[in-house]
Amino acid sequence: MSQIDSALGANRVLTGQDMSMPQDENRVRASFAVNLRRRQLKERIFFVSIFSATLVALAILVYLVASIAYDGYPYLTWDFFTNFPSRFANKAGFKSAIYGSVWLGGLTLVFSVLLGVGAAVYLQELASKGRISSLIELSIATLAGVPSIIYGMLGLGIFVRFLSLGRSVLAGALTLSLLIMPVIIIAAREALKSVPDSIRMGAFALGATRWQTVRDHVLPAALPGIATGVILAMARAVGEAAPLILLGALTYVAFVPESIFDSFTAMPIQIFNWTSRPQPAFHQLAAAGIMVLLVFLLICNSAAIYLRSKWGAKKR
Amino acid sequence: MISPTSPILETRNLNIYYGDKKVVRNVSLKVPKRTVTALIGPSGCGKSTILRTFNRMNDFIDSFRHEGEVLFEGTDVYRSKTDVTEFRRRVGMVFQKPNPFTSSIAKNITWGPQINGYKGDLNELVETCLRKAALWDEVKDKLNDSGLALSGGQQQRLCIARAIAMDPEVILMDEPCSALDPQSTLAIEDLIHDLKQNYTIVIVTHNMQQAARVSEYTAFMYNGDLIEFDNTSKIFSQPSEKLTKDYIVGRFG
Repeated sequence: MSQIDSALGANRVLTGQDMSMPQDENRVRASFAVNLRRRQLKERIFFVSIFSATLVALAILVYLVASIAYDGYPYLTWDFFTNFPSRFANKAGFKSAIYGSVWLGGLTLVFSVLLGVGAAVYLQELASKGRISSLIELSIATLAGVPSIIYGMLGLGIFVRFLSLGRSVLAGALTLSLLIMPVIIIAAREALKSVPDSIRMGAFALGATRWQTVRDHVLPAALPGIATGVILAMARAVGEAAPLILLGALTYVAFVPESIFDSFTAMPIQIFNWTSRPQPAFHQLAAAGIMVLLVFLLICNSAAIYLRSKWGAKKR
Repeated sequence: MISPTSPILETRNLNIYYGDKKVVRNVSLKVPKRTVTALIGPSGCGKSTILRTFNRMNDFIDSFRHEGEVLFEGTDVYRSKTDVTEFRRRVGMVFQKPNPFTSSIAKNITWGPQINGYKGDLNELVETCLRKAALWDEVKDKLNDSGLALSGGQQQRLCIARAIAMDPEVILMDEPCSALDPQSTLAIEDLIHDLKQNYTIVIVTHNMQQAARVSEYTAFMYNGDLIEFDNTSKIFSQPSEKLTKDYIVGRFG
């Protein structure tokens, strides 16, 4: 075959009849066992299995919410929101628990964001990467998996007893802050890590200090990621009962906390209390409480997602 | 080798290590004031590393270590008394990939001066810098738009404007055109030509035609050694070293 022929041959489209390959040293010689039918079958199996996984998760959730709504609906009256707890199921309300959770959530948000984001910025942006910093990293990852009841014991020892804060909102919020701080630190570090170095270098090259660089460029760029971590962590904090019960948070509170040193109860504690009573009416009250807690979390998360999308849009 | 009487930047017997690896070997180089000096050489020859000692951007690499001196206007920049933020204000840098901040065009320019306590009129500063960077006409109606909305070439000119805003004496450019199309490259080269009236420019480039077009002096580096440093015209027409000649004609690299 002449050179021109082989050059043309290399570009020729191969059809079913024309399987004779031109002699060209530069081509990859390979035989393909395409087996389309088998691949498409696997594709189907894959699709069906992941789809049913989603479906199962969703179905369980729907069933749970529906049964809770069915149980709790009769008790979701105005009185439920304005009454304090009572021995009598038809008089009992959720007011002190709602107020307690709002106080706890607000304080926990302030403490954990300040400390958690601060620690993340230090570890990610300032600390030299060495053996000590990887040891700290490992410890934080481990702390994130420690059962919440351990944090309750820690809080009881440090805040309630040693610092004599008593069974106050402050002690509760500090305990919950400790509980969720590892999660916030990890999420914030990931968010900071994803900010491209070129931004930092650009700022440093203009004579910026580390603080100026972090404050004006790195943190704003990492904010959506940090916010996501904070939302998830806060959802956990607001739903926690065990560490607060260990702290000695009261289950019967007939007043609303007015300062950070007041005693408190919280929604999960009140729900726990109601479910542990023998009378079925209290179980229905608990279901109503769960609905309020769910809606509360839903509102918080929606607000956070809204804020995040607004920040995200502004940056582009 | 040329030897100006009052160089603005100078290295004396500079050795640079990353960990155990020696990446720059005994380099002595004098950069004359208000000129364009090009650093050329194959990848990994140490040209960017030297550029980054001139504004101490190597400080962020943990394994970085150096011996010898790096002088800016006669004082060692690695002297412990040097305030690195003040020093970086006077030695600006433009990076390989355009890296405008995620804020508005105007804010990209004013941020540096503001954090360094600039006292003058900020609007005036924005206009002056954008004009000097040949970007004003293209962006004057959208100063509040994001810097990231600009094209790659415009972003790079914005980064140059940002560097100019600090009123530096030196502008270091690390392959400023390697991520740009030919048209934007031409615009940046024209800009470099204008800027050398007022600034000293040190440019690292892989593109030898670019070095020949924009620079007065060229340093050729190979494998950590400074092979030859001379007038650009001499380097490209009659280099003294065979290695330089081989590189220039494209025999390797």
